[in-house]
Amino acid sequence: MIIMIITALEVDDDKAFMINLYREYYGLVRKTVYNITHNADNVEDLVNDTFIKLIEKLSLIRALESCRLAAYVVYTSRSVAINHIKHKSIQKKHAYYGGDADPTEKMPDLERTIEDRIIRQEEVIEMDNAILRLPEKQKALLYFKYILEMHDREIAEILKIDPNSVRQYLTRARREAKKLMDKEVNQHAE
Amino acid sequence: MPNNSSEQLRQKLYDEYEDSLFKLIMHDVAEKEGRLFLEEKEKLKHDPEFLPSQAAVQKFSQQLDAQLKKSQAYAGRRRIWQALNRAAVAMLVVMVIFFTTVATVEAVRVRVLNFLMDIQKEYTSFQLKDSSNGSEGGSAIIDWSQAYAPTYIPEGFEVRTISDGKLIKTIEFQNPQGSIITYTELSEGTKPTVDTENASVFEAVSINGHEGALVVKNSLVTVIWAMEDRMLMIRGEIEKDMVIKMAEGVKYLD
Repeated sequence: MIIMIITALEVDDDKAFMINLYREYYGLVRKTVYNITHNADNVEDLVNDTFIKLIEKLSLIRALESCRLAAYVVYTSRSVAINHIKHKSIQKKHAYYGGDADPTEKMPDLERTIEDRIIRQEEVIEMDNAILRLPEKQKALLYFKYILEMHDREIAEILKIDPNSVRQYLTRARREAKKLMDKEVNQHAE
Repeated sequence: MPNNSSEQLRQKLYDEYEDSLFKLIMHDVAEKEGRLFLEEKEKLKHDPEFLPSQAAVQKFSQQLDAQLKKSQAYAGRRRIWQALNRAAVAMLVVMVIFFTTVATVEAVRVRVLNFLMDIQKEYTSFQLKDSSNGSEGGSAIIDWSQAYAPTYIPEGFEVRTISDGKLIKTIEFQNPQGSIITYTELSEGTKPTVDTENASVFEAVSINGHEGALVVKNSLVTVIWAMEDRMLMIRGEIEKDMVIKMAEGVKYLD
């Protein structure tokens, strides 16, 4: 009986939290979804899907402070919208991210020594800005992996790539970020 | 080959390092980008197009209820399953301890059974709880509308005597051959005894899910079981299956 009462209280609390989150982020989620799907007919459903998906991570998002929570909500809505496009048309999806060629064709030179690729502590802060300037697809990939903590299989499904290639895509995104960072540092040096 | 495996290990460790590092970097990136999202969120609050309608909130609320109910049911099932698992393990441990001990030491057998009943050398007494010290009295009238009574009586038996005491209610049945079955209802505080010395059968039984004991000695069959706040007993020189059937037929009459 006590367990039932506690469970009922938890459910009420969760519901209040989710309704509040919905009211707060409805506009931002709606805009994010629409920018990807360009379809007003199902935007409402996808907004709801986003918040329903967030329930799965309720304990995590409850602990996030406002900025990270905003990023978490936005990238969750992106994953929902992109996933929706996948079901509609693969072409449309490529239209959003651009017709990306197989990254394995242009993989960074993995033969480089690990020491060459190590990011030094002082470079970490610079790296933030570089990631923000990455193409949307690469940035989303890093978010899905490191913030939304999706499995490679889920990422592969959303981005319509081979699950075995996810790691290569990640390596490429990280290299791109490092390249952007080096470029910026060099510009400052000049 | 050793060089190869060493290189693979290095690569694996590097990948792990880079994953951790990027997790840290993305943590900061999310904060920076999140700040921009928050600003945009606040701006959109002033645009009616980006405010949820009452109908939209209501629809989401319904979806949310369904989803939370699902999660609650899942969590409930998990809790029950975990509790059952714990109970099963605890029960298994208790059973292993009991069976190991009881099977080996006769003296302990008596002590263990004492949890349910007080077994003496010549008899066994049964008790529920201590209660008020009201005196036993007799009355010729039975209030059949608020009492337990057997609804099954073996063929040929008829009611011979009835006594309705405050603590003990008894009905005696007799058949033309002179065999007697006694049905007794005992209130809390009473402590009946049954002769169990050298009994041919002395075993635990379940009467409609209630714990009880069956004793057979010299063709006298006794079944005694607890039901709510009272004990019920049926005894007679008839087949034990018949006694059990009669016990299972005892019902509370409104």
